[in-house]
Amino acid sequence: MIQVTNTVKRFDGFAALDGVTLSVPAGSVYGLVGPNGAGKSTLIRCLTGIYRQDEGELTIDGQSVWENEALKSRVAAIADDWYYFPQATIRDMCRFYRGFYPSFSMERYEKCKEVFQIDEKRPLRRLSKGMQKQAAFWLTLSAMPDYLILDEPVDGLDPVMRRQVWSLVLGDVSQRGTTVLVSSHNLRELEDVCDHVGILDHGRVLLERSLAQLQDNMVKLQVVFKDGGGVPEDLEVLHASKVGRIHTLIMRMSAEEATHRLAVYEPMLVDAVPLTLEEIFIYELGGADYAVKDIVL
Amino acid sequence: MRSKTSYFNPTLFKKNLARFWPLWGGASIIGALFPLYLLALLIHEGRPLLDNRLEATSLYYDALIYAVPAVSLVYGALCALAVWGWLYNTRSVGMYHSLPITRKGLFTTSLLSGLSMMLIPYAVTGTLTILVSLAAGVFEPVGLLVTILGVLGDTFFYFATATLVVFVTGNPFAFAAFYFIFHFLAAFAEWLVSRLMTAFYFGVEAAYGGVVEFLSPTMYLTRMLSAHVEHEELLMPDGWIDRGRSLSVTLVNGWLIAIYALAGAVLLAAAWALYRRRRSESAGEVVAVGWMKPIFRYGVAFCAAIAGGSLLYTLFCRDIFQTGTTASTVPMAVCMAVAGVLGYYIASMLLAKSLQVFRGSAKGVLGTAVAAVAVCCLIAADPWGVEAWVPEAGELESVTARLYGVHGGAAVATLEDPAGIQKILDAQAAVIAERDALERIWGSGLHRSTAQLHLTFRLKEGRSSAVYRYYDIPVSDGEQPEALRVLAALAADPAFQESSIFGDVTVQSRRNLREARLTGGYVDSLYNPETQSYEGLDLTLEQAGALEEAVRRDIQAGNFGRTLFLVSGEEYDRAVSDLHIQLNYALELQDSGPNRDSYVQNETISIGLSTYCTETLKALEDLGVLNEGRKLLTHAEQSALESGEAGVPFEGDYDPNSFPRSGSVVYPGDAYVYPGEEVDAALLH
Repeated sequence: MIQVTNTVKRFDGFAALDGVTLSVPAGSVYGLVGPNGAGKSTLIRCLTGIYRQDEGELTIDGQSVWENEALKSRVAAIADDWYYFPQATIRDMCRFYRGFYPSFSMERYEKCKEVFQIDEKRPLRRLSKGMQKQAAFWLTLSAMPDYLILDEPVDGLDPVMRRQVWSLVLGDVSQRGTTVLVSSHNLRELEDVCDHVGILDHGRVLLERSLAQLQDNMVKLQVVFKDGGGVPEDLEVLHASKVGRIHTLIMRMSAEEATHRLAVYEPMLVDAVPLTLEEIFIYELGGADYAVKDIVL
Repeated sequence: MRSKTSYFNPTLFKKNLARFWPLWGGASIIGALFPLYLLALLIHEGRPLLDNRLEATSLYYDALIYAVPAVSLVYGALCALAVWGWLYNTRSVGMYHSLPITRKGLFTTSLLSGLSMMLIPYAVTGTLTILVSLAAGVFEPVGLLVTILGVLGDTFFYFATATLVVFVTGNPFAFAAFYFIFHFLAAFAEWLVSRLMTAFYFGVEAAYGGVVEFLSPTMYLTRMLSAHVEHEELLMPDGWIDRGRSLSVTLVNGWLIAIYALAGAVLLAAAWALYRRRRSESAGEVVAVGWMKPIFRYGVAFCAAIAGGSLLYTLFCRDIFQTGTTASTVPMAVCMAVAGVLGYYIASMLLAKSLQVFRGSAKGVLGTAVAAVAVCCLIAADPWGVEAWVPEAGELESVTARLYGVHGGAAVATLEDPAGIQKILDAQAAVIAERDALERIWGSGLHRSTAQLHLTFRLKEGRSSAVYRYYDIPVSDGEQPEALRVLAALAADPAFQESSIFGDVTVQSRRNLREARLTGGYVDSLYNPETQSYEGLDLTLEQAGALEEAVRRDIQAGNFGRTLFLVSGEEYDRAVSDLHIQLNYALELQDSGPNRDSYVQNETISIGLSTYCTETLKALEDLGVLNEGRKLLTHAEQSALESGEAGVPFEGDYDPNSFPRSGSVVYPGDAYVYPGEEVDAALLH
């Protein structure tokens, strides 16, 4: 389990993390969502021992991450700007990683070779950005970590490769109980793979729930009022739009409660539609002054 | 619970060496060229290049003294950049610090990698040198061992300094700048301050004293270390002593390398402390340590204020505002404030990596300007009395006075006895007393020539460095300053001239001299009217002895040194000749080493004659050196001959107590110790 408690990290007085508290259950896939500058990468760098937090505590399995060699040998990370030695090939980096990760599996490495199909003797700098990302996954997954921390991991990967990569990751989660913390702007990606989501904004966690809880807490309804009437003013909605006679309402409550509230106005039609994670993200952040209008659903 | 903390990671170690093999491989190849070149010469010549093992040791030591510090300075920086360069890139810092290895492990592994990369080329070069030495039969294990220890010490120290600078800085350009600043800042700062003092103070010269040179180790090691070779003395048939084979070789001050190596250990500890506190996000910054940023900002401003201020003053203010030889305070203060503020902004821009540093800088800029003006005014006010300082004779070990004449020529003497020192100090005091008058003459622009008094004070125990004063005395067509009269009297003083001419061969002047034995001589520039050419003549020991006595009589009579401060060029030309007497001596000197062994060295002194060295000229005539066929020719006579006129015989009288004024009084001849620069070098070191 990854536990982050009241963590603060400042850069020249600016708090990139301003009292973050979240917990990633063991064996879960935790999506860390947030706009640019929310503090996602900073939190990940704190969790991987790159940055030292100014305040608070970060633990994995109850142990502090900072300077904990034994713990870090069970944690592998892929940064959004993954680094490789300029002249190195994948094979070179494999030898390098093997020297650090005791659980590095050459068997897994060979298996991944079939998945990624990249010439392991080609210098990494000559590979495309997407292929470099694949190489990062290849090496990181070969390290057989108990904890996998991914920062914007599938940027640059084509849809097929994304599916394959997630398949490998989720395979590890199901077979080895790997705990995954992943940050991404690709909310649709997270929706498909995450079972927990934390929304980070301005260095704070706005909400942290399981996907099921999130979806239960917000509802999207398609409603047709009698006589073509508009949305009643006393009805609390986060967002309302209208196409023809059909109103689409997004409300912060469960579908059951929303239906119950609408019953007062005797609508002609009330139909609950599943909210995407992207919609939840936008409307949750909308309350935190996020520029909702600029985001196309 | 924590477990398994390793301080060394073999994978990282191997990776470092493998990644940067071109660096240490290239250095090894370059290093190997030297012993291979010696081998090639050995094969080509068919005999050993060095006569014995001690010469090989001497060669090792020379490499250790001159090559190793300079090479290690540069190569240490490259190796440090190789193994620590990842700290300067956000991506690589992220990768390294996310790996399952502690910072302690990263530090020790990278440190060992860097040291290995530094030592490999030396090991390759050393091994090949040993093999070549063995092949040539000049292998000497003790010298080799000392050299190896020296190389190890130097290597460790330089890599430690580079490592410390790595952790202070945040990018390679800053590293390069800071590294060389670190190694030369002390000497540079001393030079800067002394330059400013020179600008303000009459007679104070910015001669490099090396007071804090120990903080610039490359310069210090190269100056302080030496290979002392004791040679066999061979008595040659002509009486000269020649140098035979080497008897022993010792590395003088070799312990300094050990001290620097210890300092290196302290620097490494400091580097580790900085690394522990270093924030990964500092990659790319100029100064990576937060509390050092103000030091950097105001340090740059300070250096800019002094260096830039002096430059601005010289370029734009000196010709307008300065009337004498010393700087005007107000313009200099303005220049320093402007340069200091510029330095402040440049440092701020470097720190912020942005040109937009003006907002909110008013307080810092104001502080810098005020501080620059305050420093300028403080130095100009001279609260320490640097300009007016005339030391007490009792606090001096010795004084070297150099007198540069109005028409050229010089006399250099080092005096140690209090009475002699006092005469020089009196002359200095007389010059200082006339400071304002001399400055007025300078300001008037009417001077046509310059006389100079240069002083080097060697202070007694507790203050090892030398203090320098250079006074320029303007000579105009009007009334001459009193200082010129005082200097003329000093130039003719018997004690001064005794030291000036015989200082290098006098037991009283030369501490390590046990005995000086005259071995012969030579007279140069005798004019032959028949051939109309100059010729020389060897002197027998007896002739040389007679001339030495005559010269001493002239010294006592005050006949030497009097032409130096003749104002009239005409009279100067009528007195001075090119004729020189060279006296050869064999000196028995005592080694400064622990054994206090003695050795013999040849020395020649050259004495220039004027027409007023009457005793010496008479002796030359009595000895038959000067006759109708071999004459002394004054500059005036020489000019007359060249222009086809009849020679003008010298006429004049001489009063040692009178001031030389144009018209009637002429001072004969000056003399100087040959070679003069050796005296200077000995004093400096």
